[in-house]
Parts: sequence; structure tokens; C-alpha cells
Amino acid sequence: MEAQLERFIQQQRPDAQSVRIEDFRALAGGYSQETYRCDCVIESGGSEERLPLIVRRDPPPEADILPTNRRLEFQIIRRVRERTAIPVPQAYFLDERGAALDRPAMVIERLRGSADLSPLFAPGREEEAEAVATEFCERLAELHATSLDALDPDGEMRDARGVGLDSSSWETYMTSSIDYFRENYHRIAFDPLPVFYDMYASLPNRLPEPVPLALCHGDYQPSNFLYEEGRITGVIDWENAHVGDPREDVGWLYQLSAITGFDLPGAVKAGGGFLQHYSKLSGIPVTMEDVGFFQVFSSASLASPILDAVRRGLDGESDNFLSTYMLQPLVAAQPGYTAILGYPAAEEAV
Amino acid sequence: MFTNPSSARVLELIREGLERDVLPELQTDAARVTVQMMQQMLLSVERRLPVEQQWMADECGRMARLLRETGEDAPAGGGEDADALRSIGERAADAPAFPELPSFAAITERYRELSAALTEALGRLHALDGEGWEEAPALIRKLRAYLQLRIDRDVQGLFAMEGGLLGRG
Repeated sequence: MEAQLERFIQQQRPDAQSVRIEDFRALAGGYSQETYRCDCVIESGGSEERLPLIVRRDPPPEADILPTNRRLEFQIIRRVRERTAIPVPQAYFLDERGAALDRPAMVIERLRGSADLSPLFAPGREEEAEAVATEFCERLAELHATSLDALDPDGEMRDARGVGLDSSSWETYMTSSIDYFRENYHRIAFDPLPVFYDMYASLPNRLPEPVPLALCHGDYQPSNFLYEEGRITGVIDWENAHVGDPREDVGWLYQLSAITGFDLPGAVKAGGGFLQHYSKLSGIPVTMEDVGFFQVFSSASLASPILDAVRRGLDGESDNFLSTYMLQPLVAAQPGYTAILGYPAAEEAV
Repeated sequence: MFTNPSSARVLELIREGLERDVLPELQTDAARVTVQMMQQMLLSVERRLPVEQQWMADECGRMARLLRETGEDAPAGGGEDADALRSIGERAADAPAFPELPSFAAITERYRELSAALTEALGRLHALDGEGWEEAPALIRKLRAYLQLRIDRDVQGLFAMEGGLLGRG
């Protein structure tokens, strides 16, 4: 792939006399895109430019856990970089159809900073953790306060997964999303999954007050940013970005903070705490009840492709072991769902 | 718990993953043979799982009957060995017999049917709740209490997540 990448970048940079890829290696882990890191040395006009890069490429379709669109991800990273102060990588090159790199791929800047939160949440670093968590809150508020006209002028993010959502209003977005979750359950449930269906079926009866739709990151959580010396150096992994209710990102952040044990919302003290600070900056009111609803909503949304990936593995449509392994988080996530839904203790069971 | 995949099917998928994703990458014959040994043992467990409980219960009955009959047939006045056989037979006869266990397939099928019915019932109750039927929340709560028991069993008794969620990041 290194030679392909060199040729691809050479095509994209016709001014370059030479393009050389160094230190190319796959990054282990990740459930969605294939991710590689490398340095690219470009010689042009007598000078040498060294670009630290990340390459994100679609996996083979049969191994794709969360099918998303590289062009939309590339585009939204560019727009967020141009139209907000949120630190995101520079999006350099897009191979939209995989003509050069076999499958759709994008080449973006490799940012400085660490994604490992264990040191940040170690005793003695509370001030730094608070600073990072506060900035994480502020960046989210900034994203949600930025007009959709700026971030999605052509409306392509309004049904980014292409599943038939109607984002013409908050009401139609919520209704079409919930309908999609329920219909999709019947299509993909490889076994009766009552807790998942309970999530979907309970949503219409708990709808919160409407707010204006906004661009959601779609996976705004503790493992999707980089930090260094108390500052966020990058918000990453925009593949699930979409137009939706901005409180989806808030609910998902609370959910993943609870699961991972990195309590980012709890570390925010400014303005009286995460929700107050976020609401003040974004102009979007959020209650803890809303957070609970959107924990369920976001979990339902992200569970759908994971359930489908497991189904494809069981049905023989995919020969990727990750599809089988996805059974583990599906089961492990359920106590979190039952807690959010307010299940009584098992002792009440007859 | 899941009926699909069954535990045996999960093992089969793991065996296939070892064959497809791991074996070709191994560098030494020793490592390859070790993985093949693991695959063979996984296959053994796959075959054992659906019949283990039923066969053990069945064989408990067979062994108890055999030992009881052997003790009854031991020769009178046959000395220490004959006395010992009678004693063994009496002990075997004293052990309570297990009821006949349904087949694994029959239990699985019933579990799946009832789980599907329970899932549908939840959906219907939520719909009635949305229409304002006052009894719905209490009935939903009853079903959820059972489901909590089920989830507790799954998580505490069956699923290993030591080491966290692997491969993320």
C-alpha cells in the first residue's frame, strides 16, 4: 500500500518532484476504518516538506462494522476546520472511489497529542483533567452553536447514513429515527433482543422538548480527542457526523464516560457544571432527563449497525471475526441500558 | 442469553477465525500445531455442549440402576466383597433420580419463542402506555424486572469482559 500511497499523493501534488512514504504502519484496533500512520516527504521547488499523516480507508464491505462515507467525513472535517475554531486535522487528499488505494480512503494530518486518558485521570492531575474536560465541553457547544448553513450547506449530512431519515424538522427527525430503529430491529435481530427492543419502543413515550437540529459529531466520547499539556489538540473520528438533535452528543458523552470510567462531564466545574456550561455557551437547554433520553437514543442509533454486523457474521455474509466479537459489547452494554431505562432490581422478578 | 448464536456456534466461529485469521500468520510449525490442537479441543467442546447435561443425567440413572442390580445379585455369604457390592448398590439406590431433561434443542426452541413473545409484549405495552392505559407502566415494570434478572445472569455468570473491550482505539 505504501507504493500506492506514494503514487496517489504524487497525483494529488503535481508540483512535487518526488513523494516518499516513511515509517508506514497500521494502527491496531478500531472497529470501523482501517487506519494507518506514516510520514510523507515531499520534495518540491528545491525544498523538502514532511507531513505527518493518518490514512483512513474503508474496510472490505463484508468486514465493515459501521459503514460510513469517506467523502462526507473528509468534507465535514474540512468544513469544521474552516468554519469553527474546533481543532481538527487538515484533510489533505480524498480517494473517493478507491481508484488509487483500492477502497475509498482519505489522507489527513496526524495531530500531536495523546488519546490515552489514564494518565490524565490519575491522582494529582485534577486541574489538567478539569481544563481538558472543560475545553471538550466548550468545543461541543461551539459545534452545536455553528449554523447548519455553514457546516452543511448542501444538506448532505441530513441523512448521512442514507437510511431514510427526514430532517426537515425536529419532529420528523425524531419520528423517522425512532421508526428506523424499530423497523431495522425486525430486519437485523438475529435473536430476540428484548432489552434493545424495549429501548426503541420506549422512546416515543419519552420525547423531550424540541430544540433546533445541529451538526452532531456522532461519537463524541473520551477516546475521540487528543490532548497535550491541558489543551485539546484535536477532535477526531468524524465518520458518524450527521444532522440531528445536538443532545445526542451530550447523551452519548455521558454514556461513554460512564462505561469507560473517564468522567469528563463530572470534571467540568465552570459555570456550575457540564450541562450548565454547555447550555450557556450553546444556547441549548439540557436537563438530566434529556441526557437520559439521549443516552438511550444514541445507544439505539449506534447499536443498529453493530447488531447488523453480528447478524452478517452469523449469516455468513461476513467472515470477519470482529463481527463475532461484537457479541461481547452487546451483552456488556445491556446493564447500562437497563439502568438508563430505570429497570427495577432483579429481586422484583416473579 | 442468546439462542443464536448458541455456545457451540460461538466456538465454531472462533475455530473458523483461528483457521482464517491466525494460522496463516503464524511463523513456526510449533505455533501452528498448538493452534490446531486448540481447534480440535474447541470442536470437542462444541460437540459436548448440546448433550452434556442430558447425557450426564441419563447416565446417572443408568449407573444407579446398574449398581443397585449388581448389589441385589451379589451372592449371599460371599464375604467382604459381596457385602461391599450390596452396600454400593444401596447407596446408589438412595440417590434421588433426576427427572428426564428435555433435549437442548427443545429448550432452545422454547426459550427463543418465549423471548420473541416477551419482546413483542414489551412493544405492545409501550404502545398502550402511549395511548394512556394506566396499567401499562406496572406491567412493563414486571417484565423489566425479569429482564434485569436475565441480564444479571448473562453479565455475571456467562460473559467474560476481563481486559475490557479489546481492539478499540
